[in-house]
Amino acid sequence: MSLLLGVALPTLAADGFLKAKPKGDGLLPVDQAFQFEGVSREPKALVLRWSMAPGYYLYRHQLKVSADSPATLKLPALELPQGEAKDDPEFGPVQTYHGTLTAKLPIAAGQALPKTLRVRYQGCADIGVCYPPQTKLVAVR
Amino acid sequence: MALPKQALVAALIAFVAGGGGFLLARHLQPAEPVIPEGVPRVPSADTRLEGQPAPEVVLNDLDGKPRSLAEWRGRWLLVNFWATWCSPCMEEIPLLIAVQKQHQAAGLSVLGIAMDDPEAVTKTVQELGFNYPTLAGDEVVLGAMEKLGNTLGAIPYTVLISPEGLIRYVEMGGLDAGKLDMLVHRFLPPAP
Repeated sequence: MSLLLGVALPTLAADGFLKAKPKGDGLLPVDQAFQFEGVSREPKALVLRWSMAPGYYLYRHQLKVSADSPATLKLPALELPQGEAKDDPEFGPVQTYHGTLTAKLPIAAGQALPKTLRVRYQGCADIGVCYPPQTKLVAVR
Repeated sequence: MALPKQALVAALIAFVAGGGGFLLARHLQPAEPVIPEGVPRVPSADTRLEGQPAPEVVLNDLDGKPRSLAEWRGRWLLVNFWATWCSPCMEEIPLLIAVQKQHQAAGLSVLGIAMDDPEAVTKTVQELGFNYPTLAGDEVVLGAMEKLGNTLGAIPYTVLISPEGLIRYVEMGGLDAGKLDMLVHRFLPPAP
């Protein structure tokens, strides 16, 4: 028995079993957890980029882009890459993005462009806390 | 020859136990975000607030009526910040409903504060059968959380306030049944 404990306990201790459960110390402010890198213009699309710190993710279903100026301008649907499948205990099957995310807003020839985009996103930390939805107004140049 | 065989069996058992322990530890240890080098860490819950008087916080309830935390003075008040878009928050709500039911006679009141659209909150409150009051708002809720020690705005976030109005416990992240049980036994008087 002592041999069992002698081997098992150091293994558990080394892997954090005997440490206190993390209380969230070291969580990043929202703009560092999810860095929205702005909008760039390509010939056939407006490109939006995010960079997530390790341990943080954005929800696909919480990503929304609309025209802020002029607000009446209708935009095409945002093109998003396939996310990571997550079976969320509350929301069911959802998709998430860790690492980086590039989304495209297609531009048809002759289509009017907004002066300002309203970009909304929301995400969480893997540790089990979530940040409020963020809304950014970004100029399209 | 018997001794080496026993040693071999013991070593095998130890190896299996160690591996099991490793897997158990991996299973029980939550994933913790890795903070990149050079990125400042921000304390998520200001535990220095514990023992300090709770600040004045006034927020609207779901009928739009202003409510102050001071109204619950004289009872243990478990303030839980949540939102409908926060999955970990939604997971702990059934536990909070159970705690309210089991311990209100011992002087505990749960109070939900939702950082969300009041309409969405009302729908969820009805669907889940909340047995405790809920206040709601957007930016004002962020301000209330900051006063209560949460400068990040991340949720779930829970604060226990004593009948005298002192902050006794703050928790960033979800509460499980074990932790709620610990809080009840640590702070509340025994049930009559």
